[in-house]
Amino acid sequence: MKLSRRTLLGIVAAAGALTAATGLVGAITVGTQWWDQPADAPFEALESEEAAVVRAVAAAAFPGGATIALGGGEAELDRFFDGLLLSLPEMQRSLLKLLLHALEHGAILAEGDRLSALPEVAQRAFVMGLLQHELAEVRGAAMSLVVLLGMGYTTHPTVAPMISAWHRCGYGS
Amino acid sequence: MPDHAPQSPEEWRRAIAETLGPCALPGYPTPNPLGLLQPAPPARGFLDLPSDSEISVEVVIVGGGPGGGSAALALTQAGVQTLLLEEGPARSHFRKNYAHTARYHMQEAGTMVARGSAMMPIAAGRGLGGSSLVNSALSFRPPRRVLDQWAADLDDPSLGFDALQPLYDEVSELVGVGITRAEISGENNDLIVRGIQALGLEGGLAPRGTPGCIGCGVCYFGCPSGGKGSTNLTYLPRAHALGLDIQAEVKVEGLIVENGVVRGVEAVAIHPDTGARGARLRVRAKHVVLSAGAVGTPRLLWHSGAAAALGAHTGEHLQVHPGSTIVAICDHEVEMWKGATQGAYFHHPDLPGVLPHTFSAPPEACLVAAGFLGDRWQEGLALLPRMCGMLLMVSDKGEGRVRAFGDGRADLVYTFADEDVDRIKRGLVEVARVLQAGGARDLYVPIHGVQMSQSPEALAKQLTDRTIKDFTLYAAHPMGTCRMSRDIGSGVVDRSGRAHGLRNLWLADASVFPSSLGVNPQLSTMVMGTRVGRALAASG
Repeated sequence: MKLSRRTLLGIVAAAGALTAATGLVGAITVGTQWWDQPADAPFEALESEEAAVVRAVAAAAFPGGATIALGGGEAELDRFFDGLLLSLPEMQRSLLKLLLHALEHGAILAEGDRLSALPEVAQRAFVMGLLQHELAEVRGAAMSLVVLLGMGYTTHPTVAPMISAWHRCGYGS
Repeated sequence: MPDHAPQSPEEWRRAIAETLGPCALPGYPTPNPLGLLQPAPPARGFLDLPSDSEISVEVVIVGGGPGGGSAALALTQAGVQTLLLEEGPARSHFRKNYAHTARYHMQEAGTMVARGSAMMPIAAGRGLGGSSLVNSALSFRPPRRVLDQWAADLDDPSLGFDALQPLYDEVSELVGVGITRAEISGENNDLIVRGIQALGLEGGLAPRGTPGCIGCGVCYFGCPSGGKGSTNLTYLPRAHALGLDIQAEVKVEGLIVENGVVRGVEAVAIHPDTGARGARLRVRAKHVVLSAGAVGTPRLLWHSGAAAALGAHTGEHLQVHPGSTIVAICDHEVEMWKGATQGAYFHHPDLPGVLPHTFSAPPEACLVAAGFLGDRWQEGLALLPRMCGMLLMVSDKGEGRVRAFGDGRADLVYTFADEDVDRIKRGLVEVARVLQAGGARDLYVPIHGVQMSQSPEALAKQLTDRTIKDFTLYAAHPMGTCRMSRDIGSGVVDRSGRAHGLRNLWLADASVFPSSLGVNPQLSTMVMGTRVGRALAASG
């Protein structure tokens, strides 16, 4: 998949905006628990293929381990992102979905398969490569998505109490 | 968490216990010792506007932040009938996660980004209290050279450094400005102070408008203990007691202009949770004061079509105090969330216009800034208690502009000056020296191509060939977009804040600053709001 520079800049603008804030996530966290939905509940803004990309990026950026066992790939961040997209204007929503498709298919060139189909190690290599990419626009788009998902991850009810063990003022409450 | 300053010792003890828990520092001061902080005033909201309506007042103020709040107090003290309109929620409510803060207390839900030399998120607060709700209340006064230049440029001695000091004194007293107390500073600030002292630099614990601070370390979420001298607890309750009427949860979308005279504003109710649009409110007024901030005010002027009458400088000259950050790892526990959020600063003699001060942020922001993602995520989580941070900002030579997209959102462009980029790099090296002199070890900067450094010299070497596109940027001090000037050929408002191009229109926020301040703008915005309010009251 080839993106024009103009489109890429548009994606970065949409995603970059979210770096600053993810304030729109509030629309999700007020009244709806994104982490507590049935596994087979349909997404409202995401296609299932796009949700798989979100899970792959989250797993790559926030792998589970000794400090916090729950990895980003298991933290229902596809639900979090689905709710976020719903609260966005149409243009930003479309650009972010386009970014997901670019990531999914861009991995074919870099790693030989779609991002969501890659083994975890290769997913991580691809995502970390984007975060260190020579083009600021690519880095910006990838970073925006990661920061956004990070805010979801650190406020997940399984993760927030663990974060609070370090950030002891009740972070995420 | 309370939306008001507790008023009795028992309320304070309860607030402290609920807020701090294990973060409590020994020996915190008696909060609100002078009774400076008052309960937030009542305000009407979305549900109080069931149907379209029209009202008339003497003065309507758009925006309830430091500029609008201080103007409101000046006007009501003079007996002027005043209505204040605010887009944000009628009752502020804080939680300790940034998603919530941004949703309710950041303009455009925190999604404003300037394009241009590089993508740069720009933050501005909203709600009754505006940016004072979500800042660290750092309360520096601008340097003499800045204010005296304003006086010279505008041929107005009353804008000079010496002439403005009584007004700075007055504002400082009202919001309770004081040097950060050692007993609530916390190690994130103390480490910096040790570094400053070891290197013999000018600086130390910083002045903040936080008379009831108990050192929660999360000012950016909103003050959980009600100890910050934010506008909702200082100016607005005093103005309300003098008759200020407050309607929140309404977004002003247009000015009523008739034959070159501003006659009022048009607004629509916005539901604070859903964003749904409700009834329309038309306010006719003898005078309109715009205090929506240096992004919000010109955005409104452009979106409403009023900009054309205000001259070519409307929305121009955006300055933001750009800068960068170092997150460092120490061998000992710092726990940056214990103590004053941003409570220490220094000046370097070779870097005028560069102001480094404490950095503190939510955990994921610290980890991303330091690059602890992927294989290093778990390591970063474990290092959180040993992280400290310092940021710097520069009094910018670069400029940008504010316009409005068709849907009303702010359209921002900012172009960096090479000189500013150079000063940011040199400033980072000096910040690195201070941090290491204070006890930090490994230095991480959010700049592409720069690896962890173990010495300032190594950092300086890595920074040499970095360009602004390599930086991860953030700015929170927009200003100067409707600057004061002698005439419409060089700015938007006159020395008193009155618009050159439209009668009965006044501006009272950071948009009127004639140039970049070089210090955090809250105190100066309050000074300017007070000045504009008094000038309007005196104008008859």
